Amino acid sequence: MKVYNAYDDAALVLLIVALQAGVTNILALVTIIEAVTSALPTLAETGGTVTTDGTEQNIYINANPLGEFNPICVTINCTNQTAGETIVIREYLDNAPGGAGLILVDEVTYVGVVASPMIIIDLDPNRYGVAVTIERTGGVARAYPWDVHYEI
Amino acid sequence: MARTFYDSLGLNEDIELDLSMLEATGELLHDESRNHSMATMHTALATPLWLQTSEGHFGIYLNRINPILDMDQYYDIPAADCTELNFTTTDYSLAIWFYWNTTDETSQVVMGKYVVSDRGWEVYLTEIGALRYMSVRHHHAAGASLRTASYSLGWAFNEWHLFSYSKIGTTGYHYRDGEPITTVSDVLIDPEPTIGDDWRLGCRFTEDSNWWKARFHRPRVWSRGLTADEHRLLYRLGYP
Repeated sequence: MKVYNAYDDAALVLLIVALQAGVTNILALVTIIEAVTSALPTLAETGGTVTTDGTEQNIYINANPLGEFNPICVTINCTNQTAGETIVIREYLDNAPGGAGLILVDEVTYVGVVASPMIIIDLDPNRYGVAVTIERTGGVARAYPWDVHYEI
Repeated sequence: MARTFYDSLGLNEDIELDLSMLEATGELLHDESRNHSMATMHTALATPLWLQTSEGHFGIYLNRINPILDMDQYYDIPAADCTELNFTTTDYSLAIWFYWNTTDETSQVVMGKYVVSDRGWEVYLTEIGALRYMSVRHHHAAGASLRTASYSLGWAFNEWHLFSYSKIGTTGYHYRDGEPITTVSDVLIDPEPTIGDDWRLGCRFTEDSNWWKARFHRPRVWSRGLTADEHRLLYRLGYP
């Protein structure tokens, strides 16, 4: 460890200048680290319950993402569905800026009691919009809890 | 591939409401916190107006100026779905981005879960002369006073700002754009419980006045006091 002469003003000024340069370098490194960590995708989740009303209803929608993101899956709990209900689940994507909007990707119909009542719909990376909807085409209103996981 | 997880981010510790507003359409706002407290828009006129902000995020333009008719727009979370926002003795924190349009109504309620002079907490904006106040008020029928509050000044029209707040102990601390600002605070008395009350954004608890005329983005609530560094991080992580 170097010992400084407290009465050597010139040496102390040089030391302060060196310290300031060091602090500047540290701040620059912190900024770089912050930029890297801020860029890491965050796995997040949200959800709710949709009670069917006979129209096509959004379960999960991100109609205009901030940018490229990674919706991973939507889960839908069909425990409340009885032999009398029929539902149609649809997935939509938008793949162009200012384009045609959400376009149908796939649809699946579930009639009556769903044998494995937790449905999982895998989603793909997306930049311009994604939606999963539910439509009751038979039976009465039922509540369907759902959630979605995405990296953003 | 490296990733972080929402619930492992320090900032999200004890977060109780996070309406991230990724929907960009419709009347529902979904909650990214583990409580899933979905907010629904109520409106007497017109549908929600989603607006893209300069940074690309989406916000709602609530009660935009209509010279003829009141829109009476607000958001609501039913009491049963927001019991975690029933703050009594605990510290708590709030945050919301907003762009205040007008004082067409002198006092405009930003959000709250309360009944005036009886129970709960409330955030509201007021213009008195040239002074523009942001206040956070506690209501407590059983307290030594019916209301105790903190306020800050300098809230401007037609500018995006992040308002954030922490109640720590008996004091309220206000932040603008992540930085602490001069806050005048009573010795806060704990609010009375609000288990049976809805959380509302944009109107009085009676849902009939004090309409908030503003754009807003991402309201959030925590059941703890955020540190000054966390308030600063809130701002740095997302200009709307």
